[in-house]
Amino acid sequence: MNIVLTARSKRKRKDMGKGSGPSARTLRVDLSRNKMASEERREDAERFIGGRGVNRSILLRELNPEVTWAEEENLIVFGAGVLVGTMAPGACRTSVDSKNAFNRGVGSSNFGGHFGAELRYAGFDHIIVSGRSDEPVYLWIHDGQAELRSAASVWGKTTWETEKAIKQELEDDQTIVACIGPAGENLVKPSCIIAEGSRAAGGSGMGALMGAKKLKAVAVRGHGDIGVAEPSRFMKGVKDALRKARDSASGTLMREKSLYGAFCREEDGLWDLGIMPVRNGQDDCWEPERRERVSGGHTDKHRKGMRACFSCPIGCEPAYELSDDIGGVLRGWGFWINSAMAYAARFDMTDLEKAIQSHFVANQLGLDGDNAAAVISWAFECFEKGMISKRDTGGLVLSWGDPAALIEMLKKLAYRRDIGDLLAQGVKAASEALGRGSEEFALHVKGQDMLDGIRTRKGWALGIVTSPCAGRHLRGAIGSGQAQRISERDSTYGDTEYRDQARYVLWQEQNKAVEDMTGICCYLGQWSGSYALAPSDYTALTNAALGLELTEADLMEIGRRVHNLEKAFNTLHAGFDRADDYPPKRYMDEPVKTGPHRGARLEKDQWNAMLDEYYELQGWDKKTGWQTEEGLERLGLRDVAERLKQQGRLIRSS
Amino acid sequence: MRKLKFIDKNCYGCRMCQMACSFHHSGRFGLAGSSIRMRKGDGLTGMALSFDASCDSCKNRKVPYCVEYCPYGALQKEKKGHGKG
Repeated sequence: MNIVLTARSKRKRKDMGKGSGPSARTLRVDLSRNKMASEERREDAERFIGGRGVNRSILLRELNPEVTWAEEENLIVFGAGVLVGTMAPGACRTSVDSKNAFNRGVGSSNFGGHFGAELRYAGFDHIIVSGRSDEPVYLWIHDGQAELRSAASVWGKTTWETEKAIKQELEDDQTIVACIGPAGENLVKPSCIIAEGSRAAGGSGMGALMGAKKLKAVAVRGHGDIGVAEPSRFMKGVKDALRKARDSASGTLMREKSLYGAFCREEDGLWDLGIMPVRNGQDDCWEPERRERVSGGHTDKHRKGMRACFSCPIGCEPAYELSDDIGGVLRGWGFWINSAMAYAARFDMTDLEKAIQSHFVANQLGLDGDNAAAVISWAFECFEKGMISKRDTGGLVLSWGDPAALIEMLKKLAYRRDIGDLLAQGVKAASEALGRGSEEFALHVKGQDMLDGIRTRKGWALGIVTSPCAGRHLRGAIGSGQAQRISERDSTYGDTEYRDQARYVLWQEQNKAVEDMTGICCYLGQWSGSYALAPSDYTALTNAALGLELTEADLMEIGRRVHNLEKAFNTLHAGFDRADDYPPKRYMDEPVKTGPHRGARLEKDQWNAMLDEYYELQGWDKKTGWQTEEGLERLGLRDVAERLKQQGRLIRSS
Repeated sequence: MRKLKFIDKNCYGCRMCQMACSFHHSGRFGLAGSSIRMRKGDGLTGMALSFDASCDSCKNRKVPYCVEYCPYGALQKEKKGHGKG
């Protein structure tokens, strides 16, 4: 029987009057008490615009630092970017923020597709989920109303089955469903939320966070609309941005061949950047004759079409059809550069069809590809070194390059079978439990499993290791592409040098925060991909939409505030300090073995100097890594400084 | 009335046409307020598209909004003819 409760959005057509700024229409859902309400978070929105910014502000205010991720009191906050649902090109992203299941700190993920637009058309910009349901439920949001409905019939089903079943139950095949699979239900930390079959809100154990609340899915559908404060100014910004997207040569390639198909051909050089670890990071260079077999150029024969996220002119998501092992056909979407890192390079696996199939299986089970591949490849290395055996794996031999073993391990992880139960805790906890020296090659940052290779490119490494969401590349991680574009870059700068990286990392943190507040996808922006849009475009669109007169510097400063909210959350909730801003031991001790970057590693002295430079630019204390009173006050975050001061974790002067 | 041509294999499903149409009618962005009805097809990609009676073919504009803002060339003007395609 469904529990049908209703919360009506308070505002309908007056959402963006001239100069009114964003209002952050928020649906509050208490799963323990079966209660819902709607409210506006105008103060949060005025300070942090929308999306990830408003989400983190809510969490910082409302979540008790003592609460752990699986407890009833934890909160999960969804937030569509403030431009999502308009014609701002690429404005499709929704942030999901919470506590990180791996480490008590910042849990943060972000997904594209059509969810955010439907949420906003349904009358809400944010959803705060608290409590825990006794029975599995899903949240159905439609046209200013919200209902909790029984998810008993879909509990245990894959994400693909769940989406289909919910659409059938609601008798609306246009509804957008974001759901968890068996991995999230089973509280497996390397899990995610999947929408529309492939759009993943990954990292931080996001699937397990929903599973702990017995929240199987959020389904959204809206027939409303969204206005902007200054329509003609806004449409000029849209036209400018569309022209830039059209003129982007790399964007055109992505539109035709997908990101992986466009940039990971053997001749592209991406394989030689040193960012794709092989055999659990035993090397960062994959032998050319092996990687060539899965390179992007081979995707053409499997790709059956392309699809775009909402309002996106780049349209980078491929659809694939593959043969399965028993004469049938497998169909699905996606396969990104990190999918090849996860399911090919990391396992020395040279069968492209099987790598794509692994990606489909992970999506169906609701596993986070990055985190799952990281912990499973650690298990493969343990097997290689004789630290575990067939007794631990249910008889499975874990050998590099064997796709059947990889796919079987994905299932064991999602269902916690055999060693999958240990791996479900993430590589840090698993290696501590196993011991036997396996900690030496357990690759995690701040307790969360990491995918990326970081020994070669130092700015890339700095951004990943200092990321508030723990070892992930979507904060300050930067390569030469961005540095060239933003640059006053001097002639001594190089990707493999330590010096002068910090200021670019700082820039990228702010840029990414702006993208996540507005909801514009980084593949249109400056991180990787089309490089079509820049902060000047985000500023023009945001000002016109909200009736504001922010300068580009103002907007980037707000981005900096958001990054500082996350930093403060980590200090308050997880107790992180400078000691948590170091790379995994393997990446400091073991150099890259082969290829153009042979010998590269992260040297401790030079890392320390780079970290000092980074903290100084941030206005953070070099000794502790904590924020300073002066730095936070300069950003207008006195309230955050007060919280830190109360816990004795604020430095009075830098 | 101008005739518009929809080339389904070109459509990526980004919904820009619907939002542009909605903007034409109301100055706001949405799907329901558009004259264009779009549904996902049964396949992995590709959309089914139709125009409802509220479409005025943007008669005061040289290029209809939906054609102008389609980033994929899926909506095009027919050179001659009447009615919606």
